[in-house]
Amino acid sequence: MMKINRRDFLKAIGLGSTATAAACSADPISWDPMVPIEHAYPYIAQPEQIEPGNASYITSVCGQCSEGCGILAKNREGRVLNLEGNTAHPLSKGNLCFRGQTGLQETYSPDRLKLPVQGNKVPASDDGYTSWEDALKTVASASAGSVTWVGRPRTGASAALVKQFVSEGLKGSVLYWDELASSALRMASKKVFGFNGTPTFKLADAHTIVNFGMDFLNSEGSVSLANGWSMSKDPNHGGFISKMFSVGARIGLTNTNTDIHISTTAGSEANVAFAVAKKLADKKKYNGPAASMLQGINADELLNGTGAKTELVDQLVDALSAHGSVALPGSTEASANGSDLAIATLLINEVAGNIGTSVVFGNESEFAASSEEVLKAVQSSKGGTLFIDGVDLGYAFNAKSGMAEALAGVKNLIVFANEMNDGIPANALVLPVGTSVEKWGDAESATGVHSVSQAAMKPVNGNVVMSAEDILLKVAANKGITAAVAAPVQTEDVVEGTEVPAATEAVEAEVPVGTEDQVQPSIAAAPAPGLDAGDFFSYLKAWWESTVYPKYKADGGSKLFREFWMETLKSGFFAGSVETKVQWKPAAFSAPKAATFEGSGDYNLVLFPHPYTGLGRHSNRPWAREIPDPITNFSWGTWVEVHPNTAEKLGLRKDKGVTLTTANGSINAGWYGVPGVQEGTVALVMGGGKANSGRYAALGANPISLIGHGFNAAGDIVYTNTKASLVKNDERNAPSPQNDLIKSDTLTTNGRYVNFTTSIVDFNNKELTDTGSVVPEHHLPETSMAMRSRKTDNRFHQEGKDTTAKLTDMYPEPDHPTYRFAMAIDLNKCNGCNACSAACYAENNVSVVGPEQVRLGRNMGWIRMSRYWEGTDVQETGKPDVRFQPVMCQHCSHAPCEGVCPVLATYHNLDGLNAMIYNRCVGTRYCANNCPYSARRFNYHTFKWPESFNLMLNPNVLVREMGVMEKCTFCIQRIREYKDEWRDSRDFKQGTQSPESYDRVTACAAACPSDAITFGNLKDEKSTVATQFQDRRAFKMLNELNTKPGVAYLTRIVHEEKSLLHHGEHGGHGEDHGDHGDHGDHGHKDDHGNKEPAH
Amino acid sequence: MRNFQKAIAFGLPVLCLAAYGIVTNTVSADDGDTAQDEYNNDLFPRGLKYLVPPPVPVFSDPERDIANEHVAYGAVDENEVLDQPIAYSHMLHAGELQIECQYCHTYAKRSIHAGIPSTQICMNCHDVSPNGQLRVDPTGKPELYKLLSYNYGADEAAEIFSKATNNAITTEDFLAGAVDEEGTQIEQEPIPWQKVHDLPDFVHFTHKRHVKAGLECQECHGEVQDTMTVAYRVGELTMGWCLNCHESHPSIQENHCDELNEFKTCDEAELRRAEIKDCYTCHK
Repeated sequence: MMKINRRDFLKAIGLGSTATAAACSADPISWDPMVPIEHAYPYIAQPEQIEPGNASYITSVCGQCSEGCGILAKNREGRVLNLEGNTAHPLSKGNLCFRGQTGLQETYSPDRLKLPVQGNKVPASDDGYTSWEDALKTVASASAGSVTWVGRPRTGASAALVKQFVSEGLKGSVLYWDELASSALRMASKKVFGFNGTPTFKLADAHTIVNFGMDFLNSEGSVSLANGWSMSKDPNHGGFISKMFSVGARIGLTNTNTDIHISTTAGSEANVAFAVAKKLADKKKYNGPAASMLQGINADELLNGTGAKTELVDQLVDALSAHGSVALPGSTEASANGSDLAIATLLINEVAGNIGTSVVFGNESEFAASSEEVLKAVQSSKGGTLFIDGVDLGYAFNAKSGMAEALAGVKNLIVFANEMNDGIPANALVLPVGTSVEKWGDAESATGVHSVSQAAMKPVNGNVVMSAEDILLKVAANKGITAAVAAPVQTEDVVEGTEVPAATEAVEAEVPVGTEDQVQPSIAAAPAPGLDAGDFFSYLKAWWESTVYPKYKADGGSKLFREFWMETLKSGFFAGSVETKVQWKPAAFSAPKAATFEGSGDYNLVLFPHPYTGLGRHSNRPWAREIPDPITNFSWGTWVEVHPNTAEKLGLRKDKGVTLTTANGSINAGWYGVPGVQEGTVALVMGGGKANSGRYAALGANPISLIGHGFNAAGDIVYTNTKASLVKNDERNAPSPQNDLIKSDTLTTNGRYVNFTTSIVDFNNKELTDTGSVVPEHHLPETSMAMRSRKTDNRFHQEGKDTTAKLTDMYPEPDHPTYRFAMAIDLNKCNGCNACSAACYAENNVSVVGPEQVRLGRNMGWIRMSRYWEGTDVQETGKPDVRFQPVMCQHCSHAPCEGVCPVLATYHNLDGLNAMIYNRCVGTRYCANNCPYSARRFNYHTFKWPESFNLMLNPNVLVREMGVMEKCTFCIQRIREYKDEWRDSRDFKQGTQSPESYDRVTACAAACPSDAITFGNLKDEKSTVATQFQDRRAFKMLNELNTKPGVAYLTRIVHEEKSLLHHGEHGGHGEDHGDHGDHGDHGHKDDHGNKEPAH
Repeated sequence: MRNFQKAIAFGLPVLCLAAYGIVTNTVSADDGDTAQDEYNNDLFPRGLKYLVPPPVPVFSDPERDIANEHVAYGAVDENEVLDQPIAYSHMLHAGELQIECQYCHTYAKRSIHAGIPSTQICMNCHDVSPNGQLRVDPTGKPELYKLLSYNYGADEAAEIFSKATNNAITTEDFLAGAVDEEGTQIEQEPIPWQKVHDLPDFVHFTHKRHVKAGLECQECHGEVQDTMTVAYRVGELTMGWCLNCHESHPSIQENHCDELNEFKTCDEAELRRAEIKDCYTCHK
């Protein structure tokens, strides 16, 4: 076949340019008036709730982890098109994390099962499926004998149902298990508090946060943790900026936000934690119940050999003793001695006095099981019946664990799953049970918030689902399985320390009571539903009436249940609260030993969960694979993180990959040089390379096959127990949008002044408070490019006072009569989680391009999470100084892209937006070349959405085609929708109108779990964004280019004990300090000084 | 003309080359990496699109069904009346019977879509009442047989209405009338109306704002109540046509701010006048 090189092709095109120019219209429609006749199908009977063209928002529960955040499902014409946080919900506060956002891709996944399947292959045609009737018969016949249930943690009514069906009806055992849930922490709290559950960490008021390797802002965390973390970083919240410490052999995405990193050898975190606890106890002269556990400990001995720097540990101890704090345990990364570490972190919290304040206990987790217990349960159900509910038992348990053999030996294996996964053997019956937006359900958080998950849509694509709960109820009805109906819930579930008991008694007293054996004391405590409820919706409602409604009455609610129920459906939740008081019980304990790494090889292999896909649960979601990991910038692949020195020693090449070999096998992977990883350690990402979990999950290599199999004392799988050797190979490095890794891959800002930090000293300097900016941008060294340009550019030397105001503009200032839409991003709150990117992909129909195109630098994400790792000597100094910066189109007032567009496809509009009109674009790409922020993306192809992903496209946004430039529009469709609603809110008779607030209008601002992004109208002086633009920490990216961006960044505040402004030696701010004083600093008064919010 | 010939002489071979390269996937990206572009890959499907669209529309897509296409915008051709499943007469309903537009097109005031009425709305008048009375007698009106069949299914409708009319319509007559244009019996299904006004996908039009700004339906859709039996397009639906109004519509041009119930002040009306010419108003 003839091959034409692109260069030759372009030459040929150049010759024929006359012809091409004549016909280079990107859009055939413009000269072809014929269009296919489309049909408009009206309803036969219009459902009342559906207004074509208008979205309705339905409250539901996210369901992508066990947290139970409330969401709003945006339903248009019967399909859920997007998910958003439920603003009133106490857990999520309207935000949605990355995983929650990708949850919708589960609903529309092309790999979903249409009907039940016998076996573990997705049938090629409809004939391969089993009918629901037959499947239910199989389930019914299997529901006898010894029954085991292994599934994701369930709470609320569905947990009650599973308990009734399995443990009471069938006398079977229930095990709740999650890939990433650490049973170490649960076992530890059981041991020392007698509490069988995990504590909830409240970060908002913690001055010091110490983390032993838990990815609590991403894969192992939740929106409420991220929210608490960001509040602790907000000076307006508590008047302080929290200081974060991390301990471990690797700096993961969460720990990049740390102020001090204590580098230890892998597997010795527990030793450090105990040493910290001991030192803290000594310092605080702790004499509480846990003192006995600390008696035999010698802190210095423990620290020996861990590699932890004593002075940093002492700093940590000082910080812990000074103020309120939180210590978080390690999870996957520190699983080797996870149980010791969990005890040690609880010990730190106890000694520091955090138990009951920032570490609180709520509901216990009944049935929670460790990985070891799960394995044993599966092995012992040989010849019996095993229900697997939503979990993947194949990926986390590797071949050496014997899980696959155990699963294959189960006689009746019933799996509830929407897609195939690695833990489904050929003898399984797989039942598609629907996603959380397709079925009724509910959830109760550990803190007692009850949420209802409404069915917001019917399954698409001809999928027929039946929820697991409905299956159980049907089977129970057919087989006559019954369970003793629990007595109506009384005071035992109700909040401790409130006046609840009295209130309940009062209600009871009013109501006639039956005989004593018929326990039916009050209307407030209706009978709990039984297995004869019929369908799950009735069960759910009855359960709420019997369990949640009494809590509502106890809280002083007066409505009838019917009203309460309708109100709950509308709001989505009932904000109960449960707090259990715990008391430390000294437990037998021996000092921890550092973990051992087995096998041959020079490096300790540490496996860590992917920040988005976790331990493979979300691996089949294209967004989670395509959006680059912020630390390495890799997407789609599997990679190792090594220390740059290691890379240099091994002679690794940036464009080539590595081969990682252990005693258990070897894989090819990409590599990245990260200063956060200890030199003796290599860190390998999990989540990729799943064998039978869908088309996207298969990409990458399976890292879990490399490690030996083992459990720690708490029964968690150990991911850090193997030594590995690393050699370079000739394969390509992992896909990264930085297309030429050799040239453009940068770790640091390389001296470019694009992202600043403010030291806490400058921030707290009252003198500066009155005078203005604390951004080093205004105090750049004389050698910087920006300063050189200012010195040589006579525009800066005109008589006058203000730097920015004196820049002579070539173009007139654009007119913004009512609106100047702008965005402020607080980098002190941004933790690099990329939830904004995921929200953007979902809202704006951004294409997923795949690894090959990503390699060519053609990924289409409108938000780029820039990461600058300034503290490359973190191993010595302990200061990682990692700076994140979400970069989207800056909507410049003087946009460089606008002037160069030959067809006026991009222009500045009256609302201050840099508009991009796709159907006008001819694809010259001048604009992208001229954009100093690299914010524009070009469609090299007409990227399409595989079948049924296309059904979740947002109809309000155009799907772009090949040859068209695209970029962030500040969610123009959402702005217009908001304006539209706002205009309609005008009451002509009263002359009133609801106030205009654009704070959360863009998809990224709405999603951001740490509330770092604020959107709004700059012309409205009362808006949050206008205040933030006046903040002392505000700066514009590449301000010296005078593009006048509409995005302001607020610097990150670092706990640096010296001023970071480059005039420290001259004394205070505002004095004459050299050359740039005459044009630089007077301006700050006008710029920032006057409208300064009090700190 | 000479220039055109020149262009063809130079351009055609290039076009062929380009088309060949694209169709056979042999134009390779010279990026150091081998990037053989695979179209229609299961994981990452991509559409095939011609860099240079062929000048004759038929060639742009071999599977194109030109018989099922129509001219969607541009100059109005009054003969271009689409074959609708039911020859519904606007003249009768909106003109003679004086039914308000928004009685059927319910959402015009509330949504971007005006809404095609659900069959139930038609049945508000055309159904047989619970006591067996007919408000509109369908006898001898085969178009109504179709409507009733779309609502009930032909068999059931025949039974109901022959009973309601005391066999004035025989079941055979009814069933003979209740066929679609291909001659198959109509079942209970949504009426497959053909879109008369079909804007390109890159245009986001909203009925709501236009209705709320006080525009009459007829300004864009023509005097349907006086002139149209089966509706046809009277507006050009081109961008120039839209902008004509957005620039010079009387309600915008003159200072009719009091009458524009949407705007609070004249200033605001003034501003909106500028705003509605923003490309982002329609292209998002």
